[in-house]
Amino acid sequence: MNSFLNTQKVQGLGLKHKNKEILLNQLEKKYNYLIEIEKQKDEFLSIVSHELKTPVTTIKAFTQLLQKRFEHKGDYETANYLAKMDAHTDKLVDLVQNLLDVSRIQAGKFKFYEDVFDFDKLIKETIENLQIIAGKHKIVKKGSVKTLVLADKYRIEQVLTNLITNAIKYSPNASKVIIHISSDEDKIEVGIQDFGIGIPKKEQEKIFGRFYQVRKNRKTGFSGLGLGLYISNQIIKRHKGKFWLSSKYKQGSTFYFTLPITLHSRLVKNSFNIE
Amino acid sequence: MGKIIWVVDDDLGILEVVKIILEEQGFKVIAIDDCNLIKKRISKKLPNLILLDILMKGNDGQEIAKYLKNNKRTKDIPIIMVSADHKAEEKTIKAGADGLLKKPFNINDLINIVKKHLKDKKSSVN
Repeated sequence: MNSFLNTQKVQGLGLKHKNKEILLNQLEKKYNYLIEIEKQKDEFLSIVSHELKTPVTTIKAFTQLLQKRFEHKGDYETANYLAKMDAHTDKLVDLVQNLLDVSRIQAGKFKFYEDVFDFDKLIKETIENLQIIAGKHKIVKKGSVKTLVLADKYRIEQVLTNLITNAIKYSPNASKVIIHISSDEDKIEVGIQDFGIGIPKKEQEKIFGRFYQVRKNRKTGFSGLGLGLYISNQIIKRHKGKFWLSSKYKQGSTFYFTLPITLHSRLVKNSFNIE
Repeated sequence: MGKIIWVVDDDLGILEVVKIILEEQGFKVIAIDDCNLIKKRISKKLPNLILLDILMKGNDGQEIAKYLKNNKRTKDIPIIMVSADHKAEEKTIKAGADGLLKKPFNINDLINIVKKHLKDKKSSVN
């Protein structure tokens, strides 16, 4: 009897082992399939982004060409319409760029190209570019840092643009956005303050998540993919800075980020991947 | 006579608008939509500067740039890579090109980068 039971037990174990093997096999196949799909998705996003940028380049160049010609003729009203058209084309480019960036972050291929640049100058140029599309919002700068930083200028500009355009977008009844800039020995600190709808406490942790706005925009009525904060957070983290917010619901928000000044001491490299 | 610029891109829209913009600045622009023509053209009159797209159908701008930079006759011609490729910086460095203009660009950036590289090199190739 005992030997019969033992045989049954062994057979049962064998069966369990076999089932486990089949399950593991199925899981492995599913895993590989998902990896492949993810890879294809990233490649597809990269191609789509690249293909979209080509016609956008032509549209922007012709728009700017027309703008210059109207300015030359003294028709500043038409030139201004074209400047707005150009600025809104940039918004479209940003959208495409964000999709591409997210696909790169997901694939672990988000690259940075460091350079030494004048931080105050970057702030000034970014404000000038954004003031064109800011409408009634006046973008006010408070403070300066008078220092050079070693960072990816394009990416830091991307963070600034994202935060300032968000500040404008989420404060439709306000008339200004304030950019606070300060520094100490170790870091530069930037705060972008709006006087808009604010963010409830329970939402504050979630807003740095990918696609967060997509899930929320039906309720809030604001459009967007919700990628900007996720990407900005990634950019600042990779520069070894901090990113946070202070917000009161219906009173406004201030988004802060820091950039370490210790970056100065590092050698300028043409290209490197911060992973 | 204005300096000669070759604009190499497989997108006819970009070729057209870049040609107009640079001609308004007094340059003589030759638009080339087929990379294969470059190798034939370098035996004739050379340009003062080349704007070269990186990703073209059936052609690799990076390889063309390397070829030109390794050729005695053309190695001193400033080459500015123009691209929407997300690896454009890397490719520009690897190709040994002199500059990069990212698509989409502002026309002032286009004009400035062309003038800067022409001034820097004061190309004697002609």
